[in-house]
Amino acid sequence: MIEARHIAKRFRDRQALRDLNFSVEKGEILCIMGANGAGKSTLFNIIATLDDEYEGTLRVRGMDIRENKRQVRKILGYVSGRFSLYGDLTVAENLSFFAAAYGGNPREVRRQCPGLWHHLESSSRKQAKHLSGGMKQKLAICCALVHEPRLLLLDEPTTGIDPFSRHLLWKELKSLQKGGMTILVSTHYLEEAAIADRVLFIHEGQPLKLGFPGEIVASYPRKLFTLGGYPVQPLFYSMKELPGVINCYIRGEHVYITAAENISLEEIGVLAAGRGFAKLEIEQVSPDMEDVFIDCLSTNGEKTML
Amino acid sequence: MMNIRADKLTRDFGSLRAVNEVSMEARQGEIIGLLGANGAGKSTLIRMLCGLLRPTSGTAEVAGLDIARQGRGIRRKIGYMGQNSTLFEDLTVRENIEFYATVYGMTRRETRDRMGELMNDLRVGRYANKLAGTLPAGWRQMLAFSTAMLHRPEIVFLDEPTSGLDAISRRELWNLISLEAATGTTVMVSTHYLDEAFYCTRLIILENGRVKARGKAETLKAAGGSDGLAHYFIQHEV
Repeated sequence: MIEARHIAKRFRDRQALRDLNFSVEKGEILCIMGANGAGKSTLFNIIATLDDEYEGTLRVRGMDIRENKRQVRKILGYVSGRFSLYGDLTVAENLSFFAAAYGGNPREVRRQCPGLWHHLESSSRKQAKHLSGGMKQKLAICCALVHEPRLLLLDEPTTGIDPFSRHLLWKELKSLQKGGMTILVSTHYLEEAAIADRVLFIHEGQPLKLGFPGEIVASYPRKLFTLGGYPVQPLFYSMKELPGVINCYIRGEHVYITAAENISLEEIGVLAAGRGFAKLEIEQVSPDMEDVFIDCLSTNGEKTML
Repeated sequence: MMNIRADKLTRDFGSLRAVNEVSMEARQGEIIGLLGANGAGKSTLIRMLCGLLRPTSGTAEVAGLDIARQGRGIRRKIGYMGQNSTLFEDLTVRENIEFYATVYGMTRRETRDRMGELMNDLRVGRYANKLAGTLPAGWRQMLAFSTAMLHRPEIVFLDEPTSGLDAISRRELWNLISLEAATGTTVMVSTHYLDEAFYCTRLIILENGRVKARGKAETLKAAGGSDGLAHYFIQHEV
């Protein structure tokens, strides 16, 4: 459905995207993850045919998007990270407006995404600006669907949205997918990436990893340990300095450390005992998507603050 | 020592009951996580506890002071960081810190000492003379948190501090929060990230202004069955 070859983009003072290659299969949900400023929104704007100033080629359904803007726009629905609705129009008016602008029928929405519409229906006479964040996002997605696109681009649709609305939204994405929709979505929620079909990590405009969620988690090149039994603050400051410890953070009553693959639990115990933590409770735990993401970015030079 | 003690706090906005008989306590150094859908009452509860909003009924003591009668006193003992950045984007990092130091009535010497600490702890030294508005989102929130902690408050209220931040920035901000709590600051924080629940000592889950569930994240997760914590947000779906 999407084929990106050597996509690069330069803004005046910085390289936003560099040599990005990936493809998205028809009917697939590809989730893009990256730190703030990694280039996700730049990429979305390009695919949405809103930005021609890039190097490389991008094809949607085999069509070069620079040369076939009009056809591509017909099959593409885009919800950008910014508020893109008309605040002074009601829910129903927004839908009618987008239907008129993109060619479609506002009533189609009920069939396309009954789940989302069900939640919006009772507010259909409300002005969009008075909707809650979750409702605005549902409406924005409905508006992007009025012309029955085959490819949906969603730039951080769940940022600032509560867990209930998020769950509902993903359920709706999955059901759109069943109907054959291809979806490209960016998120900061690692648990959302875990339920996508494939995940793409980008960092400073470059792809770092692309694969199935399970594959990506399995590719974690470190060991992750939880340490407990002592007050977290002194433990944190002491463990941070242990040789072989790559990353260290506090979570609840435990200090988590990531260590090189060749370090054993026993070695950590001995090192910690040498620093006065003789009765340390150590456990090796499995990483999740967040651990892999953070490790991947920090080993690729993402600047950390602490 | 109890830092927060609320008894049946209730707040109405017209015919809407935003917070409905919420009782809670927080001990010194605890991190209380506040979860709930948009409109569940999280922000309203926080604003009442900060002494910014009078309760319709019910009482609460924060840092030993009554929220209805001693709001001013409370605001000197607490820190607050809202959903929208509380920084002045047109001021530099240093100017922002100096501004808040003045607001909190800190002496010049205190301000200088604190500034040195912050520049060191956060490594914001190299950003000191940059405009706050030009910092990356993660750094901006770290700075906002630091200004909320400038006057060493007993309690700090954080209303969705990690909204929109990437995973690395979230983990780092949480590390700062955890370190502050470990030195005795009580933290009350709202979030939409369920994984962040596990940074908290205890959770309060609100639904339509009422406490729907409370307890340790691990306990609530286990009680949620295969859905884990998400259980508390999806079961009433239509």
